[in-house]
Amino acid sequence: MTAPVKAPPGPLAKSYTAARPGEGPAVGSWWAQATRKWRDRPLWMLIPATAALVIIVLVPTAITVWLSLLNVNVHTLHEWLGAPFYGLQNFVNAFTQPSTLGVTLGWSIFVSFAFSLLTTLVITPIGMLAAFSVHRRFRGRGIVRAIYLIPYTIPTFVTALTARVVFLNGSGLVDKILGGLGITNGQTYWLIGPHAYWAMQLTEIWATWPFIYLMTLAGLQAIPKEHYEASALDGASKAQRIRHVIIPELSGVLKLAMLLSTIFHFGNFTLAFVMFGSPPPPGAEVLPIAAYYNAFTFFNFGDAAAIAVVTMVILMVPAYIYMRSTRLAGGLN
Amino acid sequence: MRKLRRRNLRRLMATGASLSAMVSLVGVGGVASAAPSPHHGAFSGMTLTALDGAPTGADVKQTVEYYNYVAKVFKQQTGATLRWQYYSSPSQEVTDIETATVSGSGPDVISYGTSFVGTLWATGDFTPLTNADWNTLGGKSSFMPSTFYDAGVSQSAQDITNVNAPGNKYIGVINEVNPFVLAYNTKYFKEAGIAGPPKTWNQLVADGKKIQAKVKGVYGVAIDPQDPYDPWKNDFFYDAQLGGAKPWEWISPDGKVVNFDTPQMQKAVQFYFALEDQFHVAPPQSLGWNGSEAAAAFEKGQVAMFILASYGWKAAVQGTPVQNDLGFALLPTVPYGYSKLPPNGIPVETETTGNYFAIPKYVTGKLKQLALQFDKVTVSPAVQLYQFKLNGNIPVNNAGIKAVEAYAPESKVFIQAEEDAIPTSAAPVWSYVEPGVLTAMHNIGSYLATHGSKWDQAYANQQLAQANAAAQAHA
Repeated sequence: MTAPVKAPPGPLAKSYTAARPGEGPAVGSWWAQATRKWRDRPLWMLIPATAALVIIVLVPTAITVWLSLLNVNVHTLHEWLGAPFYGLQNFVNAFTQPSTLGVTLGWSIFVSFAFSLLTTLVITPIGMLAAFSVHRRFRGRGIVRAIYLIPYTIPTFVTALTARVVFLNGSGLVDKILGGLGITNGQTYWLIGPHAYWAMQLTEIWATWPFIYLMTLAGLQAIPKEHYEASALDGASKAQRIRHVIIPELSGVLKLAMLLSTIFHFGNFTLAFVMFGSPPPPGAEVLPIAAYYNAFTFFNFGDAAAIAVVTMVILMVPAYIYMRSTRLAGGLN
Repeated sequence: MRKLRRRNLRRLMATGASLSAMVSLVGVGGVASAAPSPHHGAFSGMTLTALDGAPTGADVKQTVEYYNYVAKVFKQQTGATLRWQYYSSPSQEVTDIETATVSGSGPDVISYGTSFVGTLWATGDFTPLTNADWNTLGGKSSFMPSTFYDAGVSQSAQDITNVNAPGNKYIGVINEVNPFVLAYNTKYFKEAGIAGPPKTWNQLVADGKKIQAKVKGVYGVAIDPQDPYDPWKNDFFYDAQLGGAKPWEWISPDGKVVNFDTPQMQKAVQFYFALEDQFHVAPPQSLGWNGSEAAAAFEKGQVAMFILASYGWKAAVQGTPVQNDLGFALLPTVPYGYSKLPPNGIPVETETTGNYFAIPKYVTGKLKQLALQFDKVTVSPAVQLYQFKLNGNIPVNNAGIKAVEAYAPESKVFIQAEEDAIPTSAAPVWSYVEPGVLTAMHNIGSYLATHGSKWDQAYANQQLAQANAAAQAHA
């Protein structure tokens, strides 16, 4: 004979009294009630992943944000957590005072934005056209597809070193071609001065268009064959098929590709660093370069952290859009 | 003005030690089979970790050989094992050092390059070597005095050049040095009827013009204003020759005042670019060159001279059209427009770079003694000579110099250059000064390239002033 269970005080008391006939004794039901939410949704299984997330992402992020508020330099590095509190001074300095490299943080943001957005805007149509050109079967298609991928498979530092030779003034390939065509005088300084930005931009475009090509090709292959057949039966021309079938079907993957592309180019450090040497010209002083010099040349870790925080905030915008586009954000909600 | 010549003194000091070192060097290919030291048994079973640059670039094989050789000799001498730990980039080097010093654990010996000493000292994580430590290494007098300039910090400008000043705190032991001198094409000089390398900058310009007139398609001299090091070095020695603020006074001894924006410095910058824009002895495209591109132009026979060449060039030109035409000479010492050195001018014949090993504070007791034994191995005549054979690095002490001079007489010009080297400042704010001067030089070179090589002194002055101000803001 089971002894009567005394109902606990408080809101759970109702669940005891509400036990219906045939449901058995009310023993433990308050506990069951309390943990049902966890049993139905076993969130505890997320603990390892959450711990990893905290260690890998949240802790470094918190440290970076905290560092950006401190005056951490070579003198205070040893006891960095106890470095003098600087408030927002690192941010103010970075935005208002030209660095030893002669530019402000605002300039670096501008260069990074221009570099990443322009690259994405140019490589998108190139990558799409390349994907269209090898979508249908033809003899040697595999070889052409492999050739298309070559720029993307070359390590960035190799691309940068090669570009340095290609863009040499006078003796470089670019100057020889442009000079031969009469477009320039064949003596353009591409690696220094105002043209440096364009040399970097053109190199990035050359090296990265296959990313859009790959994504587009994957998108094309995912379009059901029936859609092509239906459009053919409806008498759609090639242009109409591209406009009304292919482009709408590709829009999702293209948006994703453009977002990822922009984020990737925004954080490209190697190209500017290797292609121009040290220190790089103002036109190549993208945000990662600014952070690098502050941390590893000037040993001003507070300023470097401030630049990293600004970069992180900027990149959170496309990252959020990316999450929304992949429905991750919705899932979390 | 103090004239930094201590050749004769050094040679006197060197004689005894060098002779005994030479005796030990005779043997297997000029490399001694090192006998175990009296400490051999004391360190058996121990392991020492040394942090140094990863073998990369054109001399991978030689660097690997050097590391292996040092480990072998270290084992022979101490009975302990040497484990090399590498960094593959300057940023990784800094990261490794930061991690070690902040955490209080890591490599037992850390290598650093010249001009980095102020930064290391400022961390407060390296203990100055005592006289007893130096005695373990053969005493301070066994080293070339100039090798101490980047070994630590000094209390005053006078102390920098006085190795035994009590206020000097030396944390690094040098193991290699690379003095830079003038490289010239002996064949072009002969064709132009020039007897020998220039002793003054007037002569250099005149020689360049003569060669251009006689040898078609060849320029007199290469400059490399886009290099990550050379431009500030060119300013460094020319500024000293002009007698302005001494290069080690670009920063005040207390590290609080930055002052490289001087009339002499402005003149030094102007002369460097005048080789292209005024005298036209440097090719216009060299405004965009770095050191490698300038060296390539020399190797192809496109230019007759290069201002900052190391002994390593001898190996680099093998197999090129100029392999039999390479000559080395000390840098000209009289500035352009002068018949003799200006008042307060210093006859600087070189700019040098090198590599040091420092022992972090967390390495103590027997491990520190083992670390000192490691330093002793790296400066031993056998290792110094081996290193010279492999990489062309110039020895750092008297015994090593004697060995190398006997093996390669043509190394004398580099050894003399090293003897007469002058210091830079070791203040931590140097980490802003060097890139500041480089940025100014890069920008001025870019300006000339995009303005038809038309010199603008106001723009150049403004660039220097901006770099000075940016560095001062962090002093």
